[in-house]
Amino acid sequence: MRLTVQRFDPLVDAAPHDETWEVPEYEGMTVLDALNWVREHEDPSLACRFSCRVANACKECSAVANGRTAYVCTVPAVGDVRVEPLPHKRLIRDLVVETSLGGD
Amino acid sequence: MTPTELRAAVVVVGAGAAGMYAAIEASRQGADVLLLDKSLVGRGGATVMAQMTVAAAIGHAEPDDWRLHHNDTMQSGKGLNDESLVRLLCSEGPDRILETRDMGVRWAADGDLLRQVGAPGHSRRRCCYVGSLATGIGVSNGLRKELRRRSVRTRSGLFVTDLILAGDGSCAGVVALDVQAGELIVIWAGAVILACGGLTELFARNSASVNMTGDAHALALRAGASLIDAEMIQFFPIGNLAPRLVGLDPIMWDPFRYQLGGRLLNGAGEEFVHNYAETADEGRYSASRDVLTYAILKEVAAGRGTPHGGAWLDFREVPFEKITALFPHAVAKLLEQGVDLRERAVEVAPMAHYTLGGVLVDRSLATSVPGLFAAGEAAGGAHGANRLSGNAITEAFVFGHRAGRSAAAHLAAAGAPEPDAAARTGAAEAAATVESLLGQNSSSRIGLPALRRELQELMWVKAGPFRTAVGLASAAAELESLAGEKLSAARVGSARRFNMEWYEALEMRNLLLAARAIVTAATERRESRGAHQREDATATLPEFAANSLVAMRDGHLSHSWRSVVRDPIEVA
Repeated sequence: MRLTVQRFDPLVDAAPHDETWEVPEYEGMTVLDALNWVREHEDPSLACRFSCRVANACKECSAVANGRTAYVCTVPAVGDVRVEPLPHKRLIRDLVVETSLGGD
Repeated sequence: MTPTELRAAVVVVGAGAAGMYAAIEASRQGADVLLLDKSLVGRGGATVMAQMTVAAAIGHAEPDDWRLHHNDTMQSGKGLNDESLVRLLCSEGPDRILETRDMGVRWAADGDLLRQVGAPGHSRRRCCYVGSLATGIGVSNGLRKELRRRSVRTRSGLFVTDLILAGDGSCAGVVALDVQAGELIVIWAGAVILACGGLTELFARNSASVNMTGDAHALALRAGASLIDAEMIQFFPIGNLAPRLVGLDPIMWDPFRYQLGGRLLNGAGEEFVHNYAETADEGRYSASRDVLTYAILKEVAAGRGTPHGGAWLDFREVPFEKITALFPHAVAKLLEQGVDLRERAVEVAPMAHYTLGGVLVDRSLATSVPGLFAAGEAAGGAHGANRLSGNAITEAFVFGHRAGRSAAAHLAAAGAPEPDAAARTGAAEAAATVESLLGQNSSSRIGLPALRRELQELMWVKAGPFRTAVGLASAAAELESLAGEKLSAARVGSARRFNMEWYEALEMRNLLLAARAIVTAATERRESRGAHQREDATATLPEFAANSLVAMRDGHLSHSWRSVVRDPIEVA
């Protein structure tokens, strides 16, 4: 599959840019799996939030995949997928947006 | 960059069930508490992933007695349980569960009576649950309500990198990396409670969250506390292996199998568990976790595994209406993904699931370092060599509660002294070390995610469900090379905000120290007992009916044996 991710570090970059990787597929692979494949094999500096990996329990990995807001651990990684951070939230870096840091 | 300084009477590290309960109880005792999580409070950690049940002798489904729960827990632990911790776990479990109901945990109930079901190893129906496979999330949400009600201060995204020691050796606070801001923070505290879970992320196949990187174990060792039974890692026998399932907990087949039957078959389609256990399993789900793990991996090793290297779990003989009636939500998710249990079996395999050993504590949950406490999965001793299903969240509640209370009592007795020169120096040095990692070898090709994978494969093969002296010696040598030249050559990007490589380098430091402790303890235990299986020493030997302790002095790990703590109870 082909994974495209919007990269942006507001402290360094002038504007967001896309990066694309060819990721080897396997049965049941998710977009979060693909992001982790990129971190392991191509670019460990890619930033995204997650804890539970696949169970859809931690609710940390939300992003926009092919135009739809979703937990990326539930989105199948097939064909072309473009991922960008949630809109309307302060962007920290890459797919990571600000999350309440104090109490809930 | 000079770290920001904060203060709290009690700092709780880790915000799963144990940490949240500790924070609630310390706050009730009047202490000013700060609850931290390296991920998000109430989201990361192991608790939210727990779909199963919580055991306590409440006696709502049938007459029960905490002493019966105690007996069951002792039986399961194969002679290594600290009996004073088992007494605490089982005698206070009922009060804690009922208390969480008042806090807002919506336990499945009929009127005032909680529903309690059976589970393997429990002699009574005593396991409570929330919804359909929603226990962990239900527990987490209920405790978060209580935290808000009590206005407990919480901070997400703070990774505790070091414990700070005062000149007298007591714990004076923590150094933490604010992951989102990319800044270091020093938090001075009168007491610190480690509740940041286990070390399952050390193993290639594991069923827990990615956060379980042995942080509590490494922090405790570096501060001078000891680990108990570090070699004891529980492997969950039937974690989901294939197909990859989206949006479902990898251990969800356990309640399926427990409530529905379902046949466990080898690659040739034959039942096999009865060849390994004294009692035939026959789909009744009576074999304990360690026996099932052993049986499945032995079949795989003998060339009778499934295509992905596990066993088949087959529900095709179970009426589909029955499956749908019990697990409507899960069945719908399976069908969405093209997995129809009427047509296919799934592949399951053992996975690292729970850290049985952990930080050595006494019955007040205090470590040997004054002012330092541990609770939940991070604390060792209660489960011995095997944990009963349902005892983990009970442990989180009871030990969290007790640790919170003990920390408050420690403050009342010792006060929260001003940080002394040793504490200030230690904090500054620790912060400088963390800061120095940022941007390290930024052009290196060695990435931390790949290094972690290498470590996980190594631990799975050489220090996982089956161990030998030769394999462990080889693991020790490889760990040395990983901790030495490989880790120091790894790249850490220079981005300050949410730099995963930065905290992964710190997690790697913890994982490697925890791995060394496991390998040290597993080498010394030259027998097989419960979760620790030595292929070169298959018998359980009376001379090893003792707890193994690992401590660190001047960077070197030392090992010793301790008599198991006995605290006999009157027979129920």
